[in-house]
Amino acid sequence: MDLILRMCLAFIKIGAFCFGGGYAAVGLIENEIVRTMGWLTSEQYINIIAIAEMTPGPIAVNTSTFAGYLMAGPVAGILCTLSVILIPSCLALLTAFFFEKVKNNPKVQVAVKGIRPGAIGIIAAAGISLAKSGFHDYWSILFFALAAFIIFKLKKSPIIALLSCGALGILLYGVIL
Amino acid sequence: MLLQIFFSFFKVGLFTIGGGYAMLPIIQEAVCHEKGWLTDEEFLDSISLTNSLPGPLATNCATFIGYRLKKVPGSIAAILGTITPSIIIILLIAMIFNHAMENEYVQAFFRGVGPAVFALIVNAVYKLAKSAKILEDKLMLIVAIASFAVIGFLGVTPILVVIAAAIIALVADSVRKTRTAEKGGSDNGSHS
Repeated sequence: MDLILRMCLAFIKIGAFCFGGGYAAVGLIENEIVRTMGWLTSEQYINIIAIAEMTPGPIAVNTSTFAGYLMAGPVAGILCTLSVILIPSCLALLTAFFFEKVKNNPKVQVAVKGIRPGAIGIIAAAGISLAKSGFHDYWSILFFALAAFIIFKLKKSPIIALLSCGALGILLYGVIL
Repeated sequence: MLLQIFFSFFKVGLFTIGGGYAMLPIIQEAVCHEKGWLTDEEFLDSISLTNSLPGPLATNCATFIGYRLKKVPGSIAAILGTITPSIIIILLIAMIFNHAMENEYVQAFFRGVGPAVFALIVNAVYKLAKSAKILEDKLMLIVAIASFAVIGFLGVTPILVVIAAAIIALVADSVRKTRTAEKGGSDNGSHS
């Protein structure tokens, strides 16, 4: 019980500071849940991100549900999800409530724009920290190159990159090696 | 009406893979065209407002639209509608996940996927940097690199970084305004 409460508080904090889209949450969860608390391993977390991306729904919601489940079961999965959207939803409610007043507040817009480079730093730091466990051997460089080629050169969706790398993984690690 | 709101957003949650911006056209289709609950313009307003909030864009947007339709109960119906498909699907996958990971082919699949996840993160950083036009603004570039460094190497909490980045932007903005006001003389200063 105590653990679930601490998890909920962690996800409330993550939700409150996750500016800049789904991957900002991915970065914050890495920092808080994997690196600081050690509740999940990097390997587990990389798999969670991959599945969150391949299934329907917002990345932040999927990641929170999955992380909560792996840490402490289905109830924790649901509670972590509700926690992560708690503060954002309250803020959205306030925004709807004071619709006319906040419509064009320049100060808010300046601050929100200013947070974006911070969000970039958060995601990049999480990426570097995860890369250490995402790259297993020299073949991993090939998988990374394939995924980058599919996303940046062919401009296909990340899901296609994940599925292609997964299929190649089965072929290489499961059949050939 | 509350049930209708729930199921409209349930459909949105169920049929959008990738999340975030991928959901917006589908929400628009469901709420504006299928149901006629909001005009396209009201919908765009709701996005530009909720876009500045933290958290998932889809649930923020759902909260806002739900409130405009049926006050707080409408918000709750819309939020629950958006997240229920995710929760059901992820819980089902999570239940078999540990068992499935014992299979060597599933392990091989995820060995290949690991480096691809790194590519997705690179992509997220790239897209955010592009939309923030970070290379055109020296201050933003410095903040981004400094954020990365203090989190990655000094172990500073990202929350401090978010707060510091917002303060830096506000200070820089007011400095910029005072400078233009000084240059422009007395007739300037009424515009923001």
